[in-house]
Amino acid sequence: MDTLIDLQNLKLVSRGNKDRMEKYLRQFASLIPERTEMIRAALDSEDRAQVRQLIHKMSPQLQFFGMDEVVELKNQLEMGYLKMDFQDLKKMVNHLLEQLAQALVEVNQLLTDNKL
Amino acid sequence: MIRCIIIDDDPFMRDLLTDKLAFFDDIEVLITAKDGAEGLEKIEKLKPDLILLDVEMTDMTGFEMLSRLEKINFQTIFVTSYGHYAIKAIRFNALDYLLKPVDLEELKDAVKRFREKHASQSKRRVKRALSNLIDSHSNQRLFLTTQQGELDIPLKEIAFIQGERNYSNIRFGSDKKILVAKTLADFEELLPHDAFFRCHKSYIVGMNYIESVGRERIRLSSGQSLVLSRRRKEEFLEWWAINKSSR
Repeated sequence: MDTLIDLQNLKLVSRGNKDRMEKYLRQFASLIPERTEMIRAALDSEDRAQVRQLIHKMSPQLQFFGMDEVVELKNQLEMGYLKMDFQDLKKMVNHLLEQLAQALVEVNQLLTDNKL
Repeated sequence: MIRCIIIDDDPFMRDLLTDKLAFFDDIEVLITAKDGAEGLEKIEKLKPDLILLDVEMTDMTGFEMLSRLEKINFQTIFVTSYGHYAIKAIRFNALDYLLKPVDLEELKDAVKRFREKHASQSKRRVKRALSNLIDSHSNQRLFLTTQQGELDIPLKEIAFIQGERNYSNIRFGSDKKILVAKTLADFEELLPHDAFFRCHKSYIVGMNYIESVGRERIRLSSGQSLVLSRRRKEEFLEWWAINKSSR
C-alpha cells in the first residue's frame, strides 16, 4: 500500500540513530493533532488568515516527511486563501486534514511496531 | 569552534536545525531559543558567533529582534518559508537566508559563506531590512554588494535599469549610473512590482520617473525615453493605470 509519509529525510538527518528518528516521529504525533485542532477552530470562525498562518507553520514538517501531495494542497491554499470561495476553501482544508489524519496513523503505526 | 544559537518558535525546526548543524565538526549549538525574547536573552548571555534566526516568530519578527540589540557582534542566517513576504527584504539587503525545512547542501553553502566573511554583519543592514518591510516604497532603499563595495540606493532615485547581458546599469535622474553584476531578471524579482516594470527586454522603468506614455516609447522626466516592447505594452498600460495614482 502507498504511504503518505516518506522517511528518507528522517533517515538522512538521524544518521541511523533510532532515538533521533523516534524523536521526530513523536514530535509529529504530538504537534500535528494540536495544529489540526487549531485549524478546525480557525475554519469554524471563518478566519482565513489564521487558517493560512497555521497551515504555513506546518509546512516544514510536511516537507520533511515527504508529503508532496499535502504540500501541493497547502501551496494552493496559501495562494488562494483570500479570494477563494469559503466553501471551496473549507473543502480543501478538510481534505488536507484528512490527509494529515492518515499520515498520523502511519506515524503512530511506525512507533507502535517499533520497526525503525 | 563556531558558537551558534538557533532561534525559532517551531520546536520541529529547532530540533531539525540542531541535528543538521551536528554534521559540522566545527559548529557547536550552544542553545536554542523558542522566541525573540528568549533569543535576546541568550545572545546577551552567551555571545554567539552565528545565529540561525526564524523570520516570523510569535512574539516578534527576526528583524525586530535584531534591531533591539545594541551591538551585533555575530552573523545571522535567516530561516524562512518559501513564499514569505520577508524574502524580498532579506535579498534586498544582501543578507543570508535559508528556506525551511533547510536543505543540508544549502546549509553547507551558508556555513561556507559565514566562514568566508570577516566582518560582522552590520546592524545598519539589518535595520534597513526592517524598515524596508514597513516603509512605503518612497522610503525604501536597495542594498547591493558589489566589487566596488557596498551600495545603498534609495529606490525613489532609480529612473530605470538597463540590462547588458550579465550586468545591469542602474540609471538615476541625473547622468549618474552604476554598473552592477546582476541581470535584469534579478532586479525584476527584487524590486517592488508596483513601483517598477519590465517594459522591454533591456529595460525596467521606475514609476516615479514616467512623464508620459506614447505608442512605442515611454518618456521620462529625466529626459530619456525608453522603448516599450509591443509584447509587454498591454500589461504595461494596465500596470500604469493601476499604479500611477499612488505616485
